Amino acid sequence: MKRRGLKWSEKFAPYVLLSPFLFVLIVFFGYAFIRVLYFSFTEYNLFSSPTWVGLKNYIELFQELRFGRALKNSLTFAIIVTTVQTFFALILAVALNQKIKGIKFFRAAYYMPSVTSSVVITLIFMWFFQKKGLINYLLTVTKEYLPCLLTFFLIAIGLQTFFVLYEKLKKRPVSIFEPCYLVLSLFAGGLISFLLTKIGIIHPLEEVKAVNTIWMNTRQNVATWAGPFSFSRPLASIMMLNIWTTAPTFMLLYLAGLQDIPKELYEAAEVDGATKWHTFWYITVPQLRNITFLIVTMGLIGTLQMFDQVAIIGDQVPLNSVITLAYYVYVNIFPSSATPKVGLASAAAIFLAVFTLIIVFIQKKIVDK
Amino acid sequence: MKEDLMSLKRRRWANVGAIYLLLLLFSIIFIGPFLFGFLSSLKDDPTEWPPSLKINQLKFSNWVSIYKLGKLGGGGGFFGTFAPGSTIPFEITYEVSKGKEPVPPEVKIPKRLSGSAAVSLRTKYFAADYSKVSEVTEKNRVKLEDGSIRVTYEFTIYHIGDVEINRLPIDLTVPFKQNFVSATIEPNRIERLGRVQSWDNITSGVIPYIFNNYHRVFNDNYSRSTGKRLFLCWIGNSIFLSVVRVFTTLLFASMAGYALARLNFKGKNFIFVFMLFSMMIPG
Repeated sequence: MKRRGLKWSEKFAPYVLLSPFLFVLIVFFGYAFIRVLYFSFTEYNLFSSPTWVGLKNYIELFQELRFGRALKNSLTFAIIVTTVQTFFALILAVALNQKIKGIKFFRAAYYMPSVTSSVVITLIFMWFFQKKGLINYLLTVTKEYLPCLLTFFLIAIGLQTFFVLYEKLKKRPVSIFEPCYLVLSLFAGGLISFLLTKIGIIHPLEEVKAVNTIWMNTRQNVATWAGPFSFSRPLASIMMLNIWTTAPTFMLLYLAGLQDIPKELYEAAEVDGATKWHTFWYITVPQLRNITFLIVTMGLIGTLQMFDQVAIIGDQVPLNSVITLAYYVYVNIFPSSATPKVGLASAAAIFLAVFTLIIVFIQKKIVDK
Repeated sequence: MKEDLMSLKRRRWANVGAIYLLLLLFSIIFIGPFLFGFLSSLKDDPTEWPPSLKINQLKFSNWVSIYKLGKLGGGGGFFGTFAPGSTIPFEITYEVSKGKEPVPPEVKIPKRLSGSAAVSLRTKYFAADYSKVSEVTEKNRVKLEDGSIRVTYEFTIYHIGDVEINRLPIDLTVPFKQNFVSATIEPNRIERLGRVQSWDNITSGVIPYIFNNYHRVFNDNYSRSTGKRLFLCWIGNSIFLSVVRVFTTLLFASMAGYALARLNFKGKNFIFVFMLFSMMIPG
C-alpha cells in the first residue's frame, strides 16, 4: 500500500505543482485563445450571435488598407526600435559596468524610465511633444546658442588634437580619445567658450525662429529619402519614447551578462596589447551572444505587440499614422461610433501571433548560422 | 621610471573622471524628464512658455513669508488656515514711470473656488464673507534715478466672523502701466497685462504652498458619501494588489518552475511550449 502511495504521489506531483499555474494559463489564455480562434472564422459584433463565415475574415483583412498600414507600422517599429534599443542597452551596460563610487546611484537612475508606469511616461512625453513643449524648446535653445556650442566643440577638438599630436611626437602610446586629455579639453573648451560668451566676443544668435515641429498631430513623414520605407513623424515620436523606456530594462540583462564574463579574458587581452575597442569587439560582444539573442527576441515580441503607448497617445495623432497591429485589434473590437468587428479583429490577433512566431523563428535561424 | 608612474596615476584619475562625465551625461537623458516633470508640478502654471526654472515655490524668501502668514492666519506655519480673530498684514510695491502718479491698489477678496468640482461642493464658507480689508496706506516712496517712482503700500485683512476658512485668496487691481515689483509673497498669477495680481491662498502654510498640486491630490479626492479621503485608499489598493500578486506569482511560478525543471512527466514539453506560445499573443 505504502509503495503504491509513493508511486502515486511521484506520478502526480508535477501535475499538482503545475495545477495553479496551468489553471490560470488555461482559463485566461487557453480558453481566450480558442474563443478568438473561433471568432476569427465568424462574423460577430458583440450584440448578435456569431455566424460562421469561414476564411472570409482573413481574406478581408488583407484587402483592408488600414491593416496594411498597421502591418507596415508594426514592422518598421519593431525593426528600428529593437535595433536601437539593443545598441543603447549594450552601451549603457558597458558604461555602468564600472567599479567606482556612486555607481549604484547611476544604475538606479538609469532604470527609472523602466520602472515608472508606462501611462505616466506617455503622458509626460505627450506634453514634451507638444508644439510648445520641452523638446521644441530645447531645439530652439540649441539653435540660438549654436555659435557658443560650435566654439566649444572646435576648441575641445583642437585641444585634443594638439595633445595627441604632442604625445605622438614624444613617441608615447596614445589613443585619439585618451580620457585624460579628453576631460581636460572638454573642460577647457567649456570654460573658454563660457568666458567668451560672458565677455561678449561670441553671442547667441538673435531672433532665431522658434522650432515649431509638430510631433504629434501631423501626417508628415520622416526619412522621406527612404521612399516606401519612410514612416510618419508621430510614429517616430513613439519610437523615441519606447526606446527611452525599454532600453534600461535590457540594460539590466546586459549588465548581468557582463558581470559573468571571466576576468581572465580581459587580462589576457591586455597582455596581448589589445586596445579598448578590440577587447570590446572581440571579447565582450561575442561573450554576450546568448544574452543578445534573448534581448532581441524579447524586444521583437514586445515591439510587435506595441499597444499601451500608442493607445494612450490615441486621439492626439492621426490614427493611420501610428496604428500598430495590436492597436488595430483594439480599434476593431471597440471602435468609436461603429459596429464592432470582432471577427476581423480576431483574425488580426491570430495573424499577429503567427507573425510574431515566424519572426522569432527566422531570427533564431539567422543566429544559429 | 618615476615619471611613468606619475603619468599612470594621472591617467587612472582621468579615466575615472571621463567615466563620471559620461555617466552624468546619460543621467540627464534618463532622469531629466522626471526632474523637469517634478519641477513643473510645483509651478503655478506647469505649461508656461518658455519653460523657466525660476519657480516662486522654490524661493527661500517665499517660504519664510508663507510660514509667517500661515502663523498669522491662526494655523501652523506648515499647514495654515484663516481662523477667527486673525489679522494679516500685507505689503506690495509698484513702480510707475516718470511723470505718473501711483495709485493705491484696489483690494478684493474674491469668492474663488478650488479647481475641482468635488471640492467646490464641499466649500461652505468663503473668506469674502467673513473678512474686512483695512484702508490701503502708502508706506514708503522712493524716487529712482531715471525719475520713475517706486512705492510700497500696505493693508491688513481682518477675520470678522466666527468660522475657520481654509482659503484666503486676494486680487489687487491697479491702473495700466503701474508695474508690480514685489510683495510680501509673490503672486500666483499676474493677469490683464499686469493690472491684476492674484493670489490663490495667502495663508496656506509652507507645505500646501510649495506642493500645491500634491496637496490637492490628497485633499481634493474625497468620497462624497463618507467624506473620507480617497487617494490614500487608492494607494492602499495598489499596494494590496502588488503584494498579493508578487506572493501568488512567486508561489505558483516556483511550483511550476520546479515541476518543469526537475521532474519528468508526460506532456512536459507540450506544457512548456504552450507557456512560451502564450507569451507571443498580444496581451
